[in-house]
Amino acid sequence: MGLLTATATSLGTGTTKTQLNGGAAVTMPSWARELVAVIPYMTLVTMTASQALIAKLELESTDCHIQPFECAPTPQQGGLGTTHDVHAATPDIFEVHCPLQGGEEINVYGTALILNTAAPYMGATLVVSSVRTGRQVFRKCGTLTDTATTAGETAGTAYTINGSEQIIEVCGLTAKQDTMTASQPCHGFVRLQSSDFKVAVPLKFLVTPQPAGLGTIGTPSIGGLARFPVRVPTNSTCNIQDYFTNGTTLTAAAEWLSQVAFYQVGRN
Amino acid sequence: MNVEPLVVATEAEDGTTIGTSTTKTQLNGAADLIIPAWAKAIVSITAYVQPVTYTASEATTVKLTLESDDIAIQPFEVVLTPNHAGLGTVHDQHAPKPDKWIINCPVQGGEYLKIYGTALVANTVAPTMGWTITFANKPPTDPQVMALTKTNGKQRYYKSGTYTNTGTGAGQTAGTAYTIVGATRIVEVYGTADKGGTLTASEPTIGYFTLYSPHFVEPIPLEFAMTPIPSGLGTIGTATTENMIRFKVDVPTQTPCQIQDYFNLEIGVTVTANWVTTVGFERN
Repeated sequence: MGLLTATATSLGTGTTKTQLNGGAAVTMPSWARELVAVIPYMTLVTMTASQALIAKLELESTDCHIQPFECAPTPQQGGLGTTHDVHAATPDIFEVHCPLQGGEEINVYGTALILNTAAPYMGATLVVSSVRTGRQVFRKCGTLTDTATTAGETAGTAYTINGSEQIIEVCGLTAKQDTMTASQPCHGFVRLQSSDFKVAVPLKFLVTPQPAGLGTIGTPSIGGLARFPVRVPTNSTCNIQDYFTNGTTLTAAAEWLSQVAFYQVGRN
Repeated sequence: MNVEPLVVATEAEDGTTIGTSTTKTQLNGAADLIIPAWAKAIVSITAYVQPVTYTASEATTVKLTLESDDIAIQPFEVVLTPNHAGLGTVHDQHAPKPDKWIINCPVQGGEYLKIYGTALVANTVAPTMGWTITFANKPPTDPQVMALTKTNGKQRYYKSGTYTNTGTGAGQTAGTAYTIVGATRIVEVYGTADKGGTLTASEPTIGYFTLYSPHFVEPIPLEFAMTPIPSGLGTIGTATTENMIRFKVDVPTQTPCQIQDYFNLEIGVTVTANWVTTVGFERN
């Protein structure tokens, strides 16, 4: 086992896809036979009141079959007012198990999903192994979508996973992009629906609530993603419609996103 | 041979208010949850509690209970990671990652399940509880399900003690003894504490729990820490913690097994905390 780093790189203030590791690919060691996992880390630098960091990481390569692999780590929630703390959650570990021959170049990208006044940074640790340790996992994220401001369900943008055999993990997140309001948390659940699920099963799962502070300053911090292992056989081309049911009334909408991990047919 | 694939899926709700008192409240909008017809196991439950309109110096500690007339799931009562109070009228809030408990309860599909939430301390404004249950189409002892849960497939039961005050002085406080029936071994122990009332700056709460029983087959010590409750500085501040620490153990027991719990407060406080222990166990 070994550990490599895609060094932290500014994502800019926009929502442009940015190559981490200073714009360079990460070269796998010659002995590497599997990219086991990726562990993104990210942070805001110059804080802006009420402004969160919501971003996703993508792995791409022309040397090995690693795509699609996009994952959204725990958001860094902005604070309430002009004075507040910031909480860094324990970085999330996303399993990859991509087979390697050694020497592959892996491109690691970060994309902020909302605009930031000051550019955030993202980096990643890559875990590599000299032996295979698991079946390859692919991941895809939905589109960051506004919640309703009243309690109720909001549809996201449907997304498609290709070559899928079965979904093995589902996960959602919520955070406030801006305009925090005291005592106004966002909580609820994500629902995934698809006519390409081979079995008619519910996929409804909570997200870690986005809390809110009390008074005129305060930091609502999020401890980590709630991730759910599942097993849902799918058609090879699986179109997924995601929904978020917001449990409370909000002055300003929060944002939410769903993501799924899946096995591909014939990819071990 | 056509082997039916493993199917694991989830069911959830968007949260039910549990009121401002310590009354047991049925979640899922006060309706029973009907277990999907295809399900053969309740794999796990994940739950959160979220205060909505905050009140200064007021913590939220809740217990989640599962009951059913149709399946043998009781006792199942677990205490969630508390949402700690802030200091003064301005403070932050932290949402820990929702806690998850393995259940491994076999079902036939179509049974009714009642999910309850109970605040252990009254709140000025009602908090909300939400949950997600994971079901599988194969029994808990199926090798694939056991691989998923990283368990031996045995059903888990949970029981919590009584919410007890620490007192102000450093030292040991006894809780109220509680009994688990039919247990063959305790497989998990944990405790939580929270502080309510008027908080005091620079006054953290740290300590450890002790569980004692003459019905442990071997005299195994069970002493385990709590996640400390930190304390802010000045007139405003936030005491936030990550998740409670949960300890995997393997303690064979006689049945019934009466457990006496204790909390050992290691630094004296001017404002007391309240604590509670929970044990997870297996039956034959």
